[in-house]
Amino acid sequence: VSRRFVSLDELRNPASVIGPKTKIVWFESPINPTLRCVDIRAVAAACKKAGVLSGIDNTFACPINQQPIAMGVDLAMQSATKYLNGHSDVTGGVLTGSRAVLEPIGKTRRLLGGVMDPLPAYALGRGLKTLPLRVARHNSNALAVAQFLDGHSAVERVYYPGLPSHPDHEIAKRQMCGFGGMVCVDLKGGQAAAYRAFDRLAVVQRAASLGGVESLCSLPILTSQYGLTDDELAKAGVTRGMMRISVGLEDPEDLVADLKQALEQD
Amino acid sequence: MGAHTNLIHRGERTPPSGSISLTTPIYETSTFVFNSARDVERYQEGSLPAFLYSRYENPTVGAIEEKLAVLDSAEMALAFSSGMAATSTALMTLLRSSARRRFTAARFTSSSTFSPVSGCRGGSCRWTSCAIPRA
Repeated sequence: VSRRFVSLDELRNPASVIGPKTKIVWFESPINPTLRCVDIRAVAAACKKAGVLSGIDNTFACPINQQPIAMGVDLAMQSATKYLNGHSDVTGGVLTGSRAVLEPIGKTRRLLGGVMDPLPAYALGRGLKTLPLRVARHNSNALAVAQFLDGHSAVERVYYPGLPSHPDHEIAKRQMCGFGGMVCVDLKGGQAAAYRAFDRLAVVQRAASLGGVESLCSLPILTSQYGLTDDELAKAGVTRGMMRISVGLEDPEDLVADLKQALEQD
Repeated sequence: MGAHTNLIHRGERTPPSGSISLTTPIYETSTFVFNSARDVERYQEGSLPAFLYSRYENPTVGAIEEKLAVLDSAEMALAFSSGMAATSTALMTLLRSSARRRFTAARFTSSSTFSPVSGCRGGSCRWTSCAIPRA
């Protein structure tokens, strides 16, 4: 199996990334951690036209905010660890799609054994019952956080698909019915400023993962982009001053106050 | 019956008669009991809707898969032990050796998604081809 990685710019013309040997195009939107968005319908349509499978990682949006199967994607994957369960106490994953695509994968699951155990399945089922309620609150809390950060004197740039200043706001508006609970902020002063604000957080917890009731913050250069060179970071659109916030379900004024004190100058 | 036998078997396999649990119970069982060889045969032929073994299907897992399919407006959902189990199982199924086997990924896709394929520098990598069923 050979693989080719393409840039967002290349993916803007999805037919151009599909070659004669292409079997599947795999992408995510919004993208971790910059929340850049891919035009899902365009990728799905180009794949269909070429007879190629399309697969999306829909973890960041979750199906309440974004319905990739309805937009023509063949296979949607999510980490159920995140919004689907929502309580930071289950590790799990899910695939959705047509029977034709999923039944062979179900046979492989039997053989490879990556099945979910009944106990986490029960917890996930309980979490799912409140998913629409939780996601509505994640959306509104994240917007409140993004709006607070946008224009703050310590902030270089805020990345949230729901803000008109986001480079893919128009794409997001077309394909998302809510903009999600993830906010990324690039601080003036780079890595030192990010480390400082990160260490001062009190309500928001310093932890990887996302999508739970608790607000969490991680530094991409220490997690998803750990060990990348400056050149690789630039290609990924990630800076050393970035903090990724998974906005939880706390009172929005408490989250804003926590970020405010974390960004305050001595 | 002796104490060992009683403590192992008493109180098991007794669904509450006449009552329906409001929520799906946690079927924390690795396997399921059949009444007869004929029933196992019928299960294998597909004419008896039953459960054989929790690595294949489990009622608690099946219940959430039903929710997950509806949630995503999809015909079907499969639950996995992690997101990466879902991703790797899908890719190992879909990228079986054939004329078409190129995996094109958005460069900024979740970094761990790359690990199963990007560990193989030089443009091609070999996944274990053993035991992956033909569709």
